[in-house]
Amino acid sequence: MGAATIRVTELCKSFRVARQPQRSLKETAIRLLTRRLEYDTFLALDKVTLEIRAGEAVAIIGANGSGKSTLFKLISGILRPTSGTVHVSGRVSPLIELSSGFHPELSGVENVYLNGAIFGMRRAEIAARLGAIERFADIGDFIYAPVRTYSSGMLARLAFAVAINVEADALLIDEVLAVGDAQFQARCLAKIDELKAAGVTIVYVSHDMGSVERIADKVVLLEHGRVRRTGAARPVIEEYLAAAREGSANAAAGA
Amino acid sequence: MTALDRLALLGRHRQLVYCLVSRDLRVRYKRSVLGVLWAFAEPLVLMLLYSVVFSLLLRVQTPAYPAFALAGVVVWGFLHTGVTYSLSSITQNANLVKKIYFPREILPLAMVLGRAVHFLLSLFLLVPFLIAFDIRPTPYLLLLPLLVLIQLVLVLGLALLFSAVSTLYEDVGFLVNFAFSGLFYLSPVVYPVELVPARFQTLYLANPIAALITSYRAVIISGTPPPWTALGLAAFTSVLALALGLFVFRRVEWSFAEVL
Repeated sequence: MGAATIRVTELCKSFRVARQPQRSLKETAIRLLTRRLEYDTFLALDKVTLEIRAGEAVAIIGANGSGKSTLFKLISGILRPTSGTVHVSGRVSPLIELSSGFHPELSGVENVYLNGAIFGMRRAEIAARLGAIERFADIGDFIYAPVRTYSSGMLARLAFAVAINVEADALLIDEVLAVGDAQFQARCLAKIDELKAAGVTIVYVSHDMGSVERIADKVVLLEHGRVRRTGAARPVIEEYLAAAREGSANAAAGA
Repeated sequence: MTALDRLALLGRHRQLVYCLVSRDLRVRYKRSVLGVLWAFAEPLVLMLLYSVVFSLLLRVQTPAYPAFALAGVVVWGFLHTGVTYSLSSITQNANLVKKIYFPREILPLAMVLGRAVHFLLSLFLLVPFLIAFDIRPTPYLLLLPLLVLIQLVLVLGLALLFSAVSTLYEDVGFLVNFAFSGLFYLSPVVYPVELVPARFQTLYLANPIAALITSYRAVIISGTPPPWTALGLAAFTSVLALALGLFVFRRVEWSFAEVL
């Protein structure tokens, strides 16, 4: 086993939720003066410890609100921990389509350069992968047209093609299968298998247990911000599904 | 993270800075039928307007008033648009900020650099007027890069400061826009500094914008040394603004992904 690529230790993340939404200086000032600036604290992650070794494929599963996305954002560096640490060695890249970073007036190729730069790629790196990106997106000559002429499916495919061609030591994948048609999804899964075989560490967040079982060597089940169980895919998925059935049965009984 | 680590991180993302600047310029210049021409028509139209109002109607006694006004308009334009366009640079990219990490200061930085390039190109609008008014360059023109550098530092500092704060508090954007309408009249854009009563001159030139506009005109149009004391003070204020802008930006940048 190689050195750990991602090590999460005693990680806590809480969000301050203002009772009244306020995003103006005036309102903040008034509330401070009248001492009515009150926050609720919401603990999204509670002392999560997790070690993902180099080349390992780990899926994070759990119900909505269990903290999957928060953990994802903490590992990718978007959020800062309230306490605890996230240690990442190597280059981590999220596999997400950033078509919101496209500019409608620029061509597909120009947007590929822009998008690649958002992922931290250098110009030469992007140029070297342009062919692979074009092939993966498979949108033909549209690649030279302004992206405002694209269908939403084409936008997502091009954006996704950039993301999947970022050279990274670890890939963070959030609900990959929401993108594109069945054929494109199959191509995505094949590419993920290929990356996995090449030794790229994979962190996969999904509700789709079929793909979780296919991709992950290890599954982490989150519940209310805590790790409920970590282990081989099959038993953890079964525990999650059993808990979900129990939960819905309780909800039905309570109703 | 130390300042040096931070600079290295920015260096690794220089391709993003380059892409954002070139996107901003290309999109701005090819937006309309007139393309590039349109982007440079605005200062000329303003110059014409100010020449009619202040030179013909109000009789401001300044030689080569059109060149004088154009210099004011162009320098003011960089300050004004550099800061106000940056205000929304983070909220406009909310979808990126929430999804992926990159050094956030790249957003206002790219906006300011794009405006700086536009400003440098706009300076060439002065050339035909300098020729028409038979204004010859003097060695003081060599100070131009220094003035541009001081102004860049000032604009960057204010852009970092206000883009960060206005992301957390929306109404700060309105305040900044309002302040700029006031600053326009407190800066010698359309009138010469000489019109300010002598006893207020020192105070007036403590405004770095006033000091900069006056210095630009000195080295480009009158071919005289800039007001050194005022310019030195402006350089000091600009460095202070950049330090404050960086400090505040780095204090609050983590919360952008949470409030957007």
